[in-house]
Amino acid sequence: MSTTTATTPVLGINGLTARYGAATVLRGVDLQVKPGEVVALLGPNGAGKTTLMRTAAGLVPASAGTVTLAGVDVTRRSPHRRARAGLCLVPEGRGIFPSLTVRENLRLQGAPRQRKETLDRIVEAFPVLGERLGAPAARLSGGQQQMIALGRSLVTNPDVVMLDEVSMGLAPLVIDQIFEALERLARTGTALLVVEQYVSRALAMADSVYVLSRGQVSWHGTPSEITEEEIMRRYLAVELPGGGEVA
Amino acid sequence: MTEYLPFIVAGLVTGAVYGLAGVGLVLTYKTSGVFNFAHGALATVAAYAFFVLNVEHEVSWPIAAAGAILVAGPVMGLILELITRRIATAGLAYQVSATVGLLLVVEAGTDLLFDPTVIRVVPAFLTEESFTLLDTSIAWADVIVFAFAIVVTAALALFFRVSRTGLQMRAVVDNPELLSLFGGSPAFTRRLAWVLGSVLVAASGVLLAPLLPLDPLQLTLLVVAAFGAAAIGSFSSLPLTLFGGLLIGVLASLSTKWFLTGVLSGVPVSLPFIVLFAVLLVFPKRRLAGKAFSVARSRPTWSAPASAQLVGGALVIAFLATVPSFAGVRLTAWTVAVASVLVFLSLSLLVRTSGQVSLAHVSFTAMGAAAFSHLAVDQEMPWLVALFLAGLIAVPIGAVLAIPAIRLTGLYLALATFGFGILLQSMFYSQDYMFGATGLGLPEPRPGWSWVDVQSDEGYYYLVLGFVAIATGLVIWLNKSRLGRLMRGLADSPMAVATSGAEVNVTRVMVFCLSAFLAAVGGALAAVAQTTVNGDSYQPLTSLVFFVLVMVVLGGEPWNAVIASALFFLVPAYMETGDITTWTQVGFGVAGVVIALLPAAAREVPRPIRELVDRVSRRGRRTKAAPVAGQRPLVEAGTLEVRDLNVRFGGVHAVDGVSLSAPTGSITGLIGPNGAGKTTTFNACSGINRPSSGTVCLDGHNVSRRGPAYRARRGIGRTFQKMELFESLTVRENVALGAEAARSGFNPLSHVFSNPVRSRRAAADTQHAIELCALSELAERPVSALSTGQRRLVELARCLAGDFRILLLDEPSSGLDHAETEFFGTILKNVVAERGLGILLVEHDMSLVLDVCAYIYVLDFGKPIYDGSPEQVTASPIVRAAYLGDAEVETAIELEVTA
Repeated sequence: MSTTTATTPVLGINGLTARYGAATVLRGVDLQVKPGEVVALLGPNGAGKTTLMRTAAGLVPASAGTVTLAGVDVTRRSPHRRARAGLCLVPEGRGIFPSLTVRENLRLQGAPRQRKETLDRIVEAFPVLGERLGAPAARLSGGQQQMIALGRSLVTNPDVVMLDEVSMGLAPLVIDQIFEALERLARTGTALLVVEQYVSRALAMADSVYVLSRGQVSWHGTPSEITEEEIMRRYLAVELPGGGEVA
Repeated sequence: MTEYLPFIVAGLVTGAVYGLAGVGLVLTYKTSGVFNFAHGALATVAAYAFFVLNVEHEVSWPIAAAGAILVAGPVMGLILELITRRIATAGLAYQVSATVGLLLVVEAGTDLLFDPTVIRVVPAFLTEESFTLLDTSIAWADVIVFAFAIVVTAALALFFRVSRTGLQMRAVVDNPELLSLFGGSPAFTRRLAWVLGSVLVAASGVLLAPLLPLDPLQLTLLVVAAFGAAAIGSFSSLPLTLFGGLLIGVLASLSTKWFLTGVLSGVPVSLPFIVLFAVLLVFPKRRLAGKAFSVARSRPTWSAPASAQLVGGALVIAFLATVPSFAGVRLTAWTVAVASVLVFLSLSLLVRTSGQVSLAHVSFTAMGAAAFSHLAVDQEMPWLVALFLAGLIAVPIGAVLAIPAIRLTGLYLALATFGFGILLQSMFYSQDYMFGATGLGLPEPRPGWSWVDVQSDEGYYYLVLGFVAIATGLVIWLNKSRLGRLMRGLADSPMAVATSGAEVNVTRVMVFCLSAFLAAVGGALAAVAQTTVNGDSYQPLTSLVFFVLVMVVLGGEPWNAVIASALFFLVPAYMETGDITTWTQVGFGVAGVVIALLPAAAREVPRPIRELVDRVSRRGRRTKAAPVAGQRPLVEAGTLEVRDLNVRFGGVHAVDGVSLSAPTGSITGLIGPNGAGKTTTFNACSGINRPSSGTVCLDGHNVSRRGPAYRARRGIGRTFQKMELFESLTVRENVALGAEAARSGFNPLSHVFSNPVRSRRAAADTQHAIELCALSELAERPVSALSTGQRRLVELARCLAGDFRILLLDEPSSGLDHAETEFFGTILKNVVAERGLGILLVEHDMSLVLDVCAYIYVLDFGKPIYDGSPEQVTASPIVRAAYLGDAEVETAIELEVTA
């Protein structure tokens, strides 16, 4: 957003706590995404990464703490109002409407009066979609479905895009294409918050890294500061006295 | 041909109206997930609104129609959206209760506002001119109605394809959450859908108004034909729904020509329900089941202590014994009320205890009453035999009604029973083997016993009281038996019942049969109190009132049945006003809506009463001695072998050539990144999904084509990542079901009875598992009150209590903290050492996996990529690559191979 200065985080998460029923999933998480920055969010399964993104997007109510978009507190806003304010979540699984056709899926993504531009931009990024516009989205391969889901981040000019395991269940070649698209997106100045099981890929494009363990930030720094052994230890929760001596 | 033309034309016109109403129904159901049983009632409101404006206030018909359709329609739509938004997560039974409650309110409310003895006719308002085609005179009005329906449906179909709002409406059906991430408001979209849907049904109400004198029940039921139309459209396709409406209209119209007499003379009226029922019985499952709206079920867990129940029961019976001394002319009403306790009890068993739905319970009482009369009078059978057989006759019908419950989700069961009730009335009530065509009624004789006076009203009252007291005692006993636990397990989690080894379908059929039997006996007893009965006493609408009553009256069995029966039969008997039953119907309907809107906690018996009862009966002061835990022998050695397993969902190859082996006496790990296919492999092992190829063998015995219950009985137990506990049962009851579900198996008798030696063993095994998992302190607490960590332990204990040899544990540590996870690991190691169980563990907590597993399989992208000892796995570059994704897994495999 042009009015924000470089120091105001485009997405600010402050002391965020969230519960599912009786279980507390997030306990006071602080996380900042600055304009144009790529942030990798790592952590083992069940650490709360998905919940963090869903709470930021407004799908899970925050029981304490705030979420700000470009300095504006949106903690009480509904998900669709956050989306319109420039926050884009590409959720885990396939973020598509399976019974709608590809064209209809894409049409829902763009602004109401820019049908053609929307379509052109997504098809330019993922030409394979152009050939399947009339097909129901459910019939597409997993990779093509993920391309549709990512399309939204390409055409709505969001300030920050949160990506939850976009490579899950995809073939390596498709993952390459997806990551290329993400890198292009990052180059346009869109800030990204990435949850990704392929840690190295996430680190390769990240400016900043957060590690989440049992609902709390357990490490924060730059990719160069974290070693593979450190991640392995935290990620697989393997507690080894000798640090790197896994074998 | 020409002889059929008039019928076809008439059918097309009414069919178009049905179709229009059906389109509105599908629209609201699809977008909100709540099926509106009051849909027909909206047509009633619109038709009366049109009558008031056009006839009473002499407003010109276009303005009156606009008022009824474009003002009353949207207002009703907005009200419904408000209600359905709040009940979307309330559970199916409460959703049905709310919309059925609305139907009752509208139906009875209309009768209160408009004196039902006055005949109201809406004059035909469209042009009365006609033209001739193939010697048949066709009214222009009919053409207009037909064209209107076609044009409206076509416009809607276009709207859903072309406009952004239409796309959003379809999107909200697929995934409302995602729509909000797209910047669309799901709430606004749903509101719009309700407005549109209500406008459509209001239009059908106005179009139907001139066809027959206004009658709220008639109108409501006419529009229920829309249910059949919606069924043909699989409750999702708008054009097919319109087509379904046309088809039903034409067939119903033609059948008035074909079937004039006999049982088939009921066909024209019943056709929508025959269609509805047929669709639910024979349509391919995947076309209907589609999206099961899974909702967290929250059911009361408190029940009064046994001592309080006994004292309460004795007091109630003592009071009822004094009734003849003051009842006077109302003794018959009292007798009917006492007899009908059985009917409500049977419905409560089905609805509250077992989590099923029946909107046709009056049909069973009608069958009981009619069958009893024929057996006792025509066949001259002894009184008790006739009563018993009358109950038995309803049993197979109950079993037939269980078929939709087995095939489909709860909503379709509700629809099928609703249709069945109306079908039975319109086709069979007037048959000679039911109530006969004359309307004179059937004689319902009392027993001619010489040794006791049961001929008098008073004598018969005491007979019924004794009968009902004994039957109620039996039901209470049944509730506490294994079947009771299975029934409540069925309501809470059919999946967990099946994977524990009981055949859920056997339980379902048993519950329906039992319920039908009790209702029929209750119906016969009540009929005898009245000496003669006819079909008018068994209106299908009353089934809806019964259902709502069972939902709204608080308290457990049999208290809710006693209160419900008193409310339904005694309140009208003691109120002198003429339209009291109409008023009570409004009251029950409102209660049905309100109970669904209340938070779950408010559906419990109020806290002060609970505390008072607990205090008076000194709950908790005496603790029952826990059974002694038995030692459990080593299990027979065996191996779970998976060979070249492939599972495909649509185009997704979720599991691709997985082979693994999990022997008894050790813990085998199955790990891999998210989406690697671990849970899918598990589900294929326990029989929840079917592999596309490959085999699952236990001890060399191929079980790949068997269901989960069979596999459980062979020795495969499992837990679930998303826990499947019996929420309304205590810890001990949960664990006990693990120990005894497999023993009930297929045999209905062993659902109820078990020999004492075996039940002692089940109790000892239960206690053993409880102690092993350190749950003794919590054993009598309901599981819904426990923390995640404790709940995980309960699920494990349920698995340990059973006679399983191989346990499949799916992510058992998720939601546990570090200490809990460690404790969990210790238990696993203990049971393997002590009993020689085999465990296959899917787990993301690597410290647990490395700590307990003897051998580990690693999956990625559904493919096996590595297997070995924990040391080998942690050292393997392949595994590291799979988790970190820094090099292609293939490269790592090559590296390892060359090294």
